[in-house]
Amino acid sequence: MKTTGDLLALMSDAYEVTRDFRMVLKPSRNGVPPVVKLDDLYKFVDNMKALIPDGAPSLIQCARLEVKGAMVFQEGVVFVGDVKVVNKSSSLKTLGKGTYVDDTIEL
Amino acid sequence: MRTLTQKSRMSSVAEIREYLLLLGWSEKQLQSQRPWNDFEKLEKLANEKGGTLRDTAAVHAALAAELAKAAAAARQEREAKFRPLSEKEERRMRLAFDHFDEDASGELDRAEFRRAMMDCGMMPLGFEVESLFREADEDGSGLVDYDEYKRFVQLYKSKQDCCTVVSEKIMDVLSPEPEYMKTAFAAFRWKMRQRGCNTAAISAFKYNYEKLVSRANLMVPEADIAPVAELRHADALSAEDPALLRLTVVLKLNGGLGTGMGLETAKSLLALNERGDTFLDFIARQVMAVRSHSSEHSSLAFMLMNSFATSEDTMKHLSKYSDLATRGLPLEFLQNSAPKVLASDLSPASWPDDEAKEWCPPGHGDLYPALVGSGTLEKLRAQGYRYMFVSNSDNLGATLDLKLLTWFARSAAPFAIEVCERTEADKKGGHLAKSVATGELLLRESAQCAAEDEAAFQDVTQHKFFNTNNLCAKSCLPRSHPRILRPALSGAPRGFAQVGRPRRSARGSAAARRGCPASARHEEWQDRRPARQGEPEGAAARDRDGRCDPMLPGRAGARRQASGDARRTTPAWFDSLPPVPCRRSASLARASRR
Repeated sequence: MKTTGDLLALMSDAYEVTRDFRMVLKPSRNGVPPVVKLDDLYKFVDNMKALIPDGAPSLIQCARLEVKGAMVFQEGVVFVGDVKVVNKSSSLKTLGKGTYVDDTIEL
Repeated sequence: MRTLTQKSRMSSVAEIREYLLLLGWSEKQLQSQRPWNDFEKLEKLANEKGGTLRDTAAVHAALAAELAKAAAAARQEREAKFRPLSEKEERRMRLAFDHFDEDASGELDRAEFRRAMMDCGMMPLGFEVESLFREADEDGSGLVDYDEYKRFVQLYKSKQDCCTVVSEKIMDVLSPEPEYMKTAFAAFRWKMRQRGCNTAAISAFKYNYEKLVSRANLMVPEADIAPVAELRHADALSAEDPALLRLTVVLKLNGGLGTGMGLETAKSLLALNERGDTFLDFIARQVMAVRSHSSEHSSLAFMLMNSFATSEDTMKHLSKYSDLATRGLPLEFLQNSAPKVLASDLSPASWPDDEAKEWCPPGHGDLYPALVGSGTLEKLRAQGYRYMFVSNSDNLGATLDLKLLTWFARSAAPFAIEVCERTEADKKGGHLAKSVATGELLLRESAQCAAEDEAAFQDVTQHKFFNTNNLCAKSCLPRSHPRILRPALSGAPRGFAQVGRPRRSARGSAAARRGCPASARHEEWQDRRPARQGEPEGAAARDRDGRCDPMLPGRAGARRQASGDARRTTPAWFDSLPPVPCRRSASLARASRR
């Protein structure tokens, strides 16, 4: 685990905890971890946690997530496939509850 | 005092007299008791002062204690006359000692001692060396450590008359500075000594530093390597030998700070869920879960390798798990500290405002030197541990797999790594490959890859495997082998399994005669080559998917979790691994293709 992106993935539902307390990828992931690329804004843990105040989004079906710009994820965000979320403005935006599939979302 | 206790079981008249004086009788009172041929009369005298002559051992012990006291007082008196050393002198003495300590054992033998004496201006004749050596070797160990050496030189100098002192000073000014004072590494050596770094740490740092200044090309070009196509899969293993658990210690590497993520604490203290459970909490529960599995599992030993930066926080956090530490073993040992090097001129970095900033933990490649230098290796071996399972503290999928351990214990490999299939998330990390020239396995890290080979490096279909840094190591020597650490410390840090390479010393052969075929076993894996070119002996790679059987502790489950986790091996790490045993017998396997 090198980055806060790795940490976010680890906090998500792509992983589960076994009875002997190992944290492992869920079987449906077929051994492939989600790739999470966060903006440098979220390089530090505290800032990354501010991105997900209600916990990590669902990544169980997400292959790749990229986040650019200042934003906050609402509770109940689900990413599927390859998703990019972009906020080009300097003001803080919110990504609402919902399922985002193979898309680039401009806030 | 030794002669006193060894001479006879009976006390001599002289000893009785000494003893009575010690009990508090005066010389005059004893004279009045002459002649001393009546044992009962003398015994009565002793009884009056609370002693007895009937217990010969006690008499000898009392006299020996008195002698030791006198010797200590004499030494104190001698040392009071020592001239305090200037920093320059101390520095020179320390560097000279390390220089002449050719095998980096931390002690001088007779030959090394002689050369060191000659360096500081003494010219002992052959027959003098022996008596001087005995004088210096205060504890009679047959070796002179630095403290003994320093006291000896100071004693010698305190006896010099003023003419000698002056002439020596003149000689010192006139003669050129010795080489060991001038080399670039001398400054680091001195700095590390000042901080109290052990000899193993200094040797390890020296190895890396010399690599750095050598300007050698350490790149691994694509043309020099071939991909590793096939490896046996860990799932194919079935044998389990629970008796091995008693001989095994599970080690978590926990020296890293989360500075890259804005943390001032150990990375493993990051919370992973809303309950605030950290990596360390998971690890503690994993260990307990494995131990609760069966009586054989219950004795599984667990340790952490912390760094000076993570030790305090980690130990505080784990204090609530009172059963985590293993009986007879500390819960942690510390990594060494390495001095930071200035990029501009490769000299020691200096930061007087905060000297702590001049140091860093050297990374996981420090495992072997830290095991040796901290005395942990000796402790483990003395308690009969033979196997070690090592993994990173931020890898929560890595627990001990008994099948893998059994396979490893039965193989001739002294060292093994677990590999996984690379995915997109792993393309920037290092990969496993085979040397075209030798057929041996190696790891290529990104820093060893030239720009023109970048595409091949990142091609996860070509170079399919990465190292999870889940390692197995074994110690191949009988317990308490004499001088066990010595060969490992000369020059490059060597492998755990290699650390105890036997010298053909008296005790070694005695051990062999007693039925511990030290050298036989040694040769066994020294001469071992991979069974066939291109097919590394042994095999072990685990699935990284989540399937696992919780009833089987350590069952192959995910050996990686967060993306990127398993790629913490750096070139330095690999460099400091034993090149021969690692490449020759690193055991790998084909990860299943899905």
